[in-house]
Amino acid sequence: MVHGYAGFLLFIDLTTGKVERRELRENIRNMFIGGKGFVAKLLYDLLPPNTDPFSPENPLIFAAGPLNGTIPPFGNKNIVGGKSPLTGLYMDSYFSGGFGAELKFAGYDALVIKGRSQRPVYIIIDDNETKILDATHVWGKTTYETYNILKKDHGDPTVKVVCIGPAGENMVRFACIDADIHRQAGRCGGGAIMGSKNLKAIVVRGSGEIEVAQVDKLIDLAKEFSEVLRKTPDASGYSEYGTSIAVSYANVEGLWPYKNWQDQVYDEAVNEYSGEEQKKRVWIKDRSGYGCTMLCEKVAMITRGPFAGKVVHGAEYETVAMLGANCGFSNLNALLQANLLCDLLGIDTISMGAVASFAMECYERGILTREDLGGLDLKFGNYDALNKLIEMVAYRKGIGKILAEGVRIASQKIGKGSEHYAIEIKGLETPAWGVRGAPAMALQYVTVDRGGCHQRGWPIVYETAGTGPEGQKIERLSTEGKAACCKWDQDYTSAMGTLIQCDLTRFGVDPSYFTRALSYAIGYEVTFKDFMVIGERIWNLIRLINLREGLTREMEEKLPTRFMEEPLPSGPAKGHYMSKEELRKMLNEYYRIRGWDDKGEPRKEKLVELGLER
Amino acid sequence: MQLIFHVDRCSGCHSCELICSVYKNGKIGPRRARIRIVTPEPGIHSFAEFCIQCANSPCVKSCPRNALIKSATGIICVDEEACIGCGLCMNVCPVNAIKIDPKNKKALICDLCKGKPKCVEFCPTKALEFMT
Repeated sequence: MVHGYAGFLLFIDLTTGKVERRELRENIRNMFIGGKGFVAKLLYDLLPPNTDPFSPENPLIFAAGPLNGTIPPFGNKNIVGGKSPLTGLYMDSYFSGGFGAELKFAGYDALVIKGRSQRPVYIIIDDNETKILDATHVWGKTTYETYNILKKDHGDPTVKVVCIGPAGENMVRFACIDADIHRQAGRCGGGAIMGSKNLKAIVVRGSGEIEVAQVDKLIDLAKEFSEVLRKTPDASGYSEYGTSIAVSYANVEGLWPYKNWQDQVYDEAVNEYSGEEQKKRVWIKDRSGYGCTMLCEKVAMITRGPFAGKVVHGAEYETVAMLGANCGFSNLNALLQANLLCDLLGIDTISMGAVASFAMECYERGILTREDLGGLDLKFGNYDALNKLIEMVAYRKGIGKILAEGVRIASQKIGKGSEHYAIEIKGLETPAWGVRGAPAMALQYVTVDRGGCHQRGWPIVYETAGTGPEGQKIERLSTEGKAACCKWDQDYTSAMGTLIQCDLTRFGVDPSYFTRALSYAIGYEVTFKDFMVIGERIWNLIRLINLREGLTREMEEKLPTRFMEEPLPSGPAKGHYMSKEELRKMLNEYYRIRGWDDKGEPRKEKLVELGLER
Repeated sequence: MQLIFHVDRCSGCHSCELICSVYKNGKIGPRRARIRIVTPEPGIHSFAEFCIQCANSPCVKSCPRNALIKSATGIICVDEEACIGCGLCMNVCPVNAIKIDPKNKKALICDLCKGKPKCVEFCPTKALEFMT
């Protein structure tokens, strides 16, 4: 057995029903480590250029990393990838839970699903036995119902399941994949890819074992790291108040969205959505991800409204900001109801919040009429209308049919200047971190591999702290030195994606813990320098995929026009916006530092240096 | 000697399963662990399944090969040579504590790690406690 790995990949073709086990080659392990690296490499090799994301040829890839199923309290996230229905480019999305670990215990480091079944099916992987089974009885069911039924069907409550809800079945382009227990691979529309394959769920049970090279050292490191986490202010904050601890920070720094990004400050909502407030009013339980010692997962009980008494996992910062603040309302129970609806129907709360606030602004500006909306009075702040809209999107009813395409396509269809209110990058709706007062973050947004995203690099912390990743001094509103911050953070985050490390465990923590854990697991030393090269290699390989899929600098590497033209009305960066000129300057510098030409294509020397070309 | 489980503290992280299996077998494989975490929908609380050394010990009585031996302290020891993995003990256990090892097909029962249970040492929320 190979230390840290199961050693095999599983290929399933839903058109032919063929199931094939292939060995995980040594050079793939060494060059790409796992997780994001495997997804990038497999997609580069398997995706025929210009494939429609809903074509049977689009491979849906689930991958684990060398730390999945092992002891340290990081590196147990899971990753799913393919060609995104929203962006038409490379996508990956991370999610919590024991799916990747279970996949390894069943004997596989990654799972590649191609083809399309004639009728609804689900896959069961039970160690070395894989079956494709009829899913008629769960088709149309919500995610919660699907878990219940499938776990009962298999008579084992400990199997790990990922599934889609009705939104995925209806190929809503921002449908998510739900992973038990109610965590989501939210972004980029993986759920829609499953739907296009007529694949409702994947059930895994693994009874095998993983062997790591230096188990005692790995256990000691895990213990030590847990102590570090307990003492690190960021991590202990997440344990106490979840990701919603960020609410007050985002408001004070003027970073979170209000009314489709018309502002980035929303004082009234802080005392409704903050982690402190949620803890006091609705959280009934703290939970952890698989193998994790942090308690960042919160379970809430809805206490008012039509969903009173129901349970929802959340609400996370991104959800309160995008579905709540961005839709212009400050009401915790109404927000939790919208959160639960999205989870049940299988919709990404970030994109849903962006789509709803886009429609609200179009309505208030007369671009969409009440008639267009099927009688819905979709003013900002009308959360009852929001909850109706979520169902219309999931079932593609009325205006939901257009909105289910995401803001980019929807705004193109609606026209009438609505494009200005479509807040997306590369087709992916931006998450709840404004960039008008944060140039490095703006550059990060336009260059990130999967479109508008805050999780593939997080240079905003350097800007608010004033110190760069390598100790250099930086100024928040200046564009100076920002390209370097951005590149460093992308390479680091990309390398962390191989592990598949949780974002929340990295802040304020010595990075050597991660490389040491990796080395103990796989049995040879990976230095921090090696690690960063691996990250850069993956980032460049994904760049090649995206260029092959037609990404161009002019078309794709830009901010929503609102961020480039409308000055911020309030907050510490009041009056500021990211001008095209500033962005162009930073982008040029970024390409240069990356070793890319002025069109953003990696130069041959860079590809040779990274071992991607001979 | 007994393990005590505090359901209100358990975060459902499964660390106990991972550490149990690695301590007993040198490799990580939670389905060979002697403790198991189960989380019913909608995923609020998680419950641990392990031997509670109950007084009546139906497992011992059910074994057709007399492979389960109860020690003076109440711990059930499995005579692996005698055990044929028939699963009768598993079926009669009142708390679902017994599993059949998927690898060697013998009964898996918590033996409290000679009085120093690793799961207790490792549990990040102190949901598992050891009472001597």
